[in-house]
Amino acid sequence: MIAGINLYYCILKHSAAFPICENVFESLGLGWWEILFHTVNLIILVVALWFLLFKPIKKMIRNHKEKLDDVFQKNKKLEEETAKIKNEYSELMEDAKKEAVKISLEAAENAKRKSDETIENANKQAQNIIEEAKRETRVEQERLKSDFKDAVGKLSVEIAEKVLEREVSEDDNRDIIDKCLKEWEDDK
Amino acid sequence: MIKIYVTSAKELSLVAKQKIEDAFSKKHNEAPVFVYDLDPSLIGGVLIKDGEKYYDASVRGRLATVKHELK
Repeated sequence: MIAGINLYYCILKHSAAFPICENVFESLGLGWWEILFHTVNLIILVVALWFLLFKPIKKMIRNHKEKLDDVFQKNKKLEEETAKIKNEYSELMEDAKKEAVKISLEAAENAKRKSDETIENANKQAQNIIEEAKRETRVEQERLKSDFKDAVGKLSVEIAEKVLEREVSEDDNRDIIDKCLKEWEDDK
Repeated sequence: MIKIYVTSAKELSLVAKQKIEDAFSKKHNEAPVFVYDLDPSLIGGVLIKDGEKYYDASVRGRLATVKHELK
């Protein structure tokens, strides 16, 4: 550093501005050694400030910047994660809606099918009831016919009995007996 | 001793009785004994019981058969 100052003094001394500077410094009452001393002081001060103030402050600023960067990074990550979760949520909602629609359609189909089955069963039952009623009507008709026939037969026989009680003569009696005797003889 | 029960609606003539006795005597080795009875409900003809067998020649029996067939 001192070599640099000396070099600077030599350059200044040999430059065109040197005589002008010398005059200015003499008017201010400053000697070269004083200027040199103050310059060295200044340099030492600057260097000391560099190491004691500037560098720590710079380091502090750098640390702070790093922290901020870190926070920004984390923030960005959180935003990305939030966006991802939002998307997943949207997808889930879509899926849920689709599922709900599907379930509604299935429920409607089931209801319709059950309704159709119920109607079909009711129709079958109605048919069965009608068939049963027809069958019972036929049976009842047959029964009435049979009862009527029985009644007519019974009445006819009773009438015949009454008539025959009065009408069977001795000759008829004899003929009946002869006829039966002949039949029994043939059956022997 | 074999007994044959003869039930008639009206009193049988001797000829009729003889015919019945002749017909039924042939069916047995020994001479059966004929027991005669009256039952006006037969209306006409005879009902003969020979052991376990019945010979129904009565009008009532015929009417019963008709009644049965009409059912």
